[in-house]
Amino acid sequence: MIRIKELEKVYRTEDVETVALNKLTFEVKEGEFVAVMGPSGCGKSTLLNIVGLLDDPDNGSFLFNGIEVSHFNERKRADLRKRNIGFVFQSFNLIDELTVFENVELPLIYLGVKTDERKKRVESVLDKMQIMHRRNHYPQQLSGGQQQRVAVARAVVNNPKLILADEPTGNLDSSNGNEVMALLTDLNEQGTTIIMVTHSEHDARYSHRIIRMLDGQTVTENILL
Amino acid sequence: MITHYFKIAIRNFRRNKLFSFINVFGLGLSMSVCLLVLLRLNHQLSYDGFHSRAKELYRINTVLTSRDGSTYRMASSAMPLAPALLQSYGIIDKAIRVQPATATTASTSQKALHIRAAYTDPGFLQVFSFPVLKGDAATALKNPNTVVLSRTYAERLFGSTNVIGSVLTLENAGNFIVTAVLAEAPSKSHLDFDAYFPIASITGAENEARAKAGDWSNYNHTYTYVLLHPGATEDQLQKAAASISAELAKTSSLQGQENYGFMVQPFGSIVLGEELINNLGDIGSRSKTFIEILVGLVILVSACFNYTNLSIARSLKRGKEVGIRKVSGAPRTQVFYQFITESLLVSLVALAVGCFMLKLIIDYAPFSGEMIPEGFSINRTLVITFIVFACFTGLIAGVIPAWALSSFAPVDVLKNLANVKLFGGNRFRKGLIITQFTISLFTLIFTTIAARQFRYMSSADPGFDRENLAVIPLNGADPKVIATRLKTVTGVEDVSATSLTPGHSSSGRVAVSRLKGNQPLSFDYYDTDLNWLKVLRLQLTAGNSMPEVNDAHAGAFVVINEKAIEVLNFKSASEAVGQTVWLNDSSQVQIAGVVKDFHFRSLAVPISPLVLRYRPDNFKLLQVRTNLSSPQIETTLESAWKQVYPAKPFQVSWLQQDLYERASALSTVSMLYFLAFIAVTIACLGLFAMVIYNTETRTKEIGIRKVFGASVAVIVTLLSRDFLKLVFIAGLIALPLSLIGGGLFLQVFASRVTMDPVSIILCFAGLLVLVMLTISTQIIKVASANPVASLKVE
Repeated sequence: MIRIKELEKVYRTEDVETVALNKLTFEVKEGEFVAVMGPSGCGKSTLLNIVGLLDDPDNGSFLFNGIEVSHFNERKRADLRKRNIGFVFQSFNLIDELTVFENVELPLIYLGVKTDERKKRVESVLDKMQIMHRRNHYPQQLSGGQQQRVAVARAVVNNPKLILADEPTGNLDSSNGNEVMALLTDLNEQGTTIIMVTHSEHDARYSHRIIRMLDGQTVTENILL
Repeated sequence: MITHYFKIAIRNFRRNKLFSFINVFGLGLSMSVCLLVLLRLNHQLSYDGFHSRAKELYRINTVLTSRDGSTYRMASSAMPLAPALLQSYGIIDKAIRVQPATATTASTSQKALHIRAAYTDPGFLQVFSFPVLKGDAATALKNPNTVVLSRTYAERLFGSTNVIGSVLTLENAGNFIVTAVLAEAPSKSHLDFDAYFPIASITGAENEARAKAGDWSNYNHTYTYVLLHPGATEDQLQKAAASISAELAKTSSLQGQENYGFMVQPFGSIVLGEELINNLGDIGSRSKTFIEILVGLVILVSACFNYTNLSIARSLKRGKEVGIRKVSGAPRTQVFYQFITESLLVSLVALAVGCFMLKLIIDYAPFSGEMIPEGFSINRTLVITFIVFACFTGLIAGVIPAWALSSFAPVDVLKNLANVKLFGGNRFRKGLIITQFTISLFTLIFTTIAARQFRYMSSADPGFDRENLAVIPLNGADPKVIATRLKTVTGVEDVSATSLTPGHSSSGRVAVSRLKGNQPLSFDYYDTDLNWLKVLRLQLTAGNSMPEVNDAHAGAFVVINEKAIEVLNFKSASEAVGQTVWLNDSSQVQIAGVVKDFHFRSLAVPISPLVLRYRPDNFKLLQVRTNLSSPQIETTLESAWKQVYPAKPFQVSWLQQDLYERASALSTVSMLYFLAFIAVTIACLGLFAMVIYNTETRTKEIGIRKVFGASVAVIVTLLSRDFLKLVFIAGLIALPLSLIGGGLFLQVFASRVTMDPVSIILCFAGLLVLVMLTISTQIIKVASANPVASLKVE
């Protein structure tokens, strides 16, 4: 599904040049659950942003489902993203002005799904995430665990092929964290490919494969299954 | 999608009440000015929209170029122009002349009323589409001694519109039979008269005073409209007019005088068109309209700055939302539309505030009389214009923030919002605040300068005594008869008849030369009686007033002013007395006396040469010198008038008050102060919002500073300093600009005040105090807060 070859990304300011990805080569097959680990600044988030088509690389090749996407412009990236990728963030990133229902509905609006169909799909996913009773609440009225469940619901509502999770349990206690990991595992078992950046060895153990990064490169790979 | 945009817009509007209020109130205030301009523009543009053949209709204007090269472009033209065009050129279907009548009173056996009348050609109602309520448009003006009345005038004079066949008497012109009554026109017209008489009826005094049928040299009183045959072009008409002008150049009566030309003006471009001499009717002023639109836009843009500034300041809060939307698949355009929807919503709510403010202006503002068009109506076009304007405002205000916010890359905003900078961070916002305060201070200082100048003009001595001087329109009364009666009223010292009172403008201009055939000089003139100088308490430098002989002989004498002595090259006033001069190269008159220079026109213009003539036919007003204050004597004057002329209308005004109202320009000054108030309020609102935002984002910094020993005073100084610096920069820009602007404004006036540094400094100090009051409450509140609480929140 994802084939990355010799990918480079350098951040430049007036004084400093930081190499985030240094000829990184990396592959993820459809249906895999991959955890990416490494110390802060090793390039994990940069990798996730590029894979999620939120950022573009400076050099190298990135094939998404066999299509070279490294040179895509913003419009093309946005189009590919909204059809194929769901995101889960450490800080949930829900829109405070929208209710639970509306937050989950958001990707479907941008996909142009009709109102009736949207309602059906949102309610179905909220039911699955067990937060249907909170559908009219605003994010600030929910606990951290509930907010992350809403975020996961939003990530999966458009049935993406790939879910990218950036430290999804980082802001949660262990009980809520385990619940979220269980949700991701369920999704993966249903066929969704997952790439998760994490600092937690515990969470990484839910994955099939752990990739460890250092200074913008992969250093080791542990296959857990 | 649009529902979603509006839903979010409404929630954001509700959630951020203070910012929403600042945006709505600021935009609403500025919109009230723009709505006022739009209202005036809409009213003006509605003029003459109902004439079905307007596209084939033109007015022929006169262009005179004098020997000194000055060009005079006049809306009026000579009487013979219409027949000349009709007879010689096949392109013209109809040519219609309109000549306002000098008569001001019409009467029946029961009633006399002031009238605004005009003489016109029989085809008037076929060329112009004034709807006819009663009578036959085709024949109404066919015969002499007929008249077409407006509906309102028929009702006022006869009490009904069923007046076909009734007779009215026009002052100095005879009896006329009503042949038609006009219905209300669908909109206003620059041709706005109570009655139309056939041009063939011009006789007697009217003919003497105004244009004679074959007189090309009298181009001041008639207006010529032509209707072209279908297919004929403006170019052909222009050529026809040019060939008439070429023919005229060869004729003896005009040979060697001014270059006499014509200008073709499409009927549709008369209203809000070129400002011509002798313009007829209310056509509005293009330059004034342009200035109004400009002022409205400056105020509007200033309010839009607040919206832009606040939206950009709040971008840190909205950035995360943009990031999430983009991550969820929103392209930039959709994010852009969402923010534009929000600004449109704010703008539409502001429109409601603007409309409310406009209502207050209409009902209570001192300048509403001058600014609100008489008889304006709120119609569908106006409502649509207002809504379109509100949307336009929303776009102006929202486009920059929408563009900027929609440009956020999700990676940046979701990772570290604090690092995101728009338009160079604070610099852009500071620039906007400086601009707003520059505009405010400029308006404030300029208004103060203008107010001082107008105050000076209303109180400065014009050189004649304007106190306790009642002005009574003659309305057809015999000046000698009524003057004799009024002189017997207790409190009346003296009475004089005149064509016009001094202080604002003269009755007109006349060509004066010392020898017949010499190059003439243009003098202002009044037609006055022999008492004029005495009643106005003017001083004679030499000679006397016109001698008390019979009317025919008195007309052979004139009084001139000192400036006239100078331009006629007399060595002294006493040398001039007894000398003769030529008026219009046709009448030789003797100088009876020289009057000391006085400001017979506004103090705004320099004193020019003046000649006082004795022509009783042109007397329009009585000037009554009294020794009592106005209310006491008005009733006595009216009773005396009614004893002599029970049917003639009696009106009285007081010269001092009239001139004060004109010179003090109360409407203009109050309007300027209103604009200054709006500019300052908008700027302060914007500043207040920025202070709130700034203090909110600096809570942690303030907490840390306090923990490490900073006092409240230090924090207040720290926070205030940045804002005060902006106002001082605005001051540095605005002060020289206002001095230049004020200086240029004062240059317009012949008599003017000097620039007063104290009042300018006071304006700046006043603004500073206002700024400090605006920012101090919020800054002191934040500086006094417990640092523990703020750090905990952080």
